Amino acid sequence: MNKSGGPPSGPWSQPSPRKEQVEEVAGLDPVARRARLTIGHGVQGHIDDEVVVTLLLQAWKSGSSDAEGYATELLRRVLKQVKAHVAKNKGWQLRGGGTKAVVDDFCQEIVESILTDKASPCHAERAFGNYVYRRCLDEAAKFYAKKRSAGRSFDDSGMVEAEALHSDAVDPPAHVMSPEEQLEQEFEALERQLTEEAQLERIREIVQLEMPEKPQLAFTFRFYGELPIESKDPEEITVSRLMGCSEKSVSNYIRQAKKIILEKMS
Amino acid sequence: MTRRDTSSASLDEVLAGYARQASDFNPEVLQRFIDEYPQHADALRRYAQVQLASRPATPEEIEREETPDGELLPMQSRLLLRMQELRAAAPTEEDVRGAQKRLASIKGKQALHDASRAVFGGIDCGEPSLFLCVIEPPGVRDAPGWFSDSLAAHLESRVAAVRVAIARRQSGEGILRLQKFSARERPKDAAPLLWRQAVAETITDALVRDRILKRT
Repeated sequence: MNKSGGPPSGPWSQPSPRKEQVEEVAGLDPVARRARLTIGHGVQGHIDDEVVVTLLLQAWKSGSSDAEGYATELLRRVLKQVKAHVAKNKGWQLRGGGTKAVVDDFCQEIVESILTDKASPCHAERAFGNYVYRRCLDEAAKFYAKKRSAGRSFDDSGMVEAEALHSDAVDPPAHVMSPEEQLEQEFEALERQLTEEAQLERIREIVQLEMPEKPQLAFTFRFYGELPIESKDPEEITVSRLMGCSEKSVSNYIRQAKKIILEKMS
Repeated sequence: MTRRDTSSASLDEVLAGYARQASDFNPEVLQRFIDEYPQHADALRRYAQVQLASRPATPEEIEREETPDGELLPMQSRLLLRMQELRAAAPTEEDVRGAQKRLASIKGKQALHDASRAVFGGIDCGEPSLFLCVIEPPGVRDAPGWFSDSLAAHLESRVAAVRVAIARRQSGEGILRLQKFSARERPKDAAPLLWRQAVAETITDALVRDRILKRT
């Protein structure tokens, strides 16, 4: 990533074995080709997505009717990927971004963007699956950012948010040590037990779906973004700088987030 | 270079700009955008939150997803119809090559001024720089339709062919490089600018800038 202007763009990833796959698939008759293209991932003979994209673009640009077959296969693959990403990230679905109509339109738009040369992949996206995921993520993140900006809240537990906002306006009062220490201890104990993927997934789900915005942001920046809460170095990006609030408030939000996680996990 | 006007940038533009520069979470880019667009700070933070907390499905999870015919066939029919529409509107490779050649013929001060005058109606307030900004890599992502319409008329080419020729040139596929005698320095690997940013950075007169931004 170059910080000044984003990643450079380039062609879809094409290591040499894929060139052989392109030639092989292009040489098949339509029935054999369809059978070959639908061989699943992880099965011998599977054709990579990038090969299908390359074949589609070749056929499309030369005006060949084979483009239709490649496009429908690519649409099938995109649909599978989008459905899987939406299923994995329940927050996208519950926020209204994963309905069937939205997914259908979105998949069609991805294939169309390839046909119309609008899908120039950046360096990090040369794998087609990566490109599809980033498009999904961008759509979900934009949807979330904009709906919130329009004044809609996705939090059921507005109480905690109100409490957090209040404590942001005036620095939170000093906490009684023992309950705080107890919370820290309980959370540390939970962290030590976090060896299973399912538990980590559950925490991710709680953060995404069951947490008011400020604790959600503070917890995410601190633990998923691995940023310090505060720093003596004025140049260092910290959670408090990103959130525009004091160190005390951030600590308070993180404490609230931990409390919610512990309650939901118990 | 004039200072970029960030106060009027729409939320869509700002989020798209952030996404382009930080396809993975990048705290430095996020902080820069929050500082530049304080009116959209909350939305930017939420965007970054989703970036950090979301995860891609694994290849196995993708493989497990079913795509029954009942679901897929209507989508495929719609796609095929759309492909027919696109094919009917698409320029031929010959059209595109012709437009590329004509675009490449805009060489030297006089040719650049002629083209800028044809597209913007003037050359005295930074219009040639804006012209170069759009057609040279990395280009401008959302240049308005009237830019390619006017340029196509000037080059006597099909509009669709000119659009493809510009896109190819922006991706480094151009036949000849333009002489950049008046273009400001921009790193070759920079991300494409937004139209609003490009206008703000190149057009020196406020009235002309406003007229260009409001032109439809």
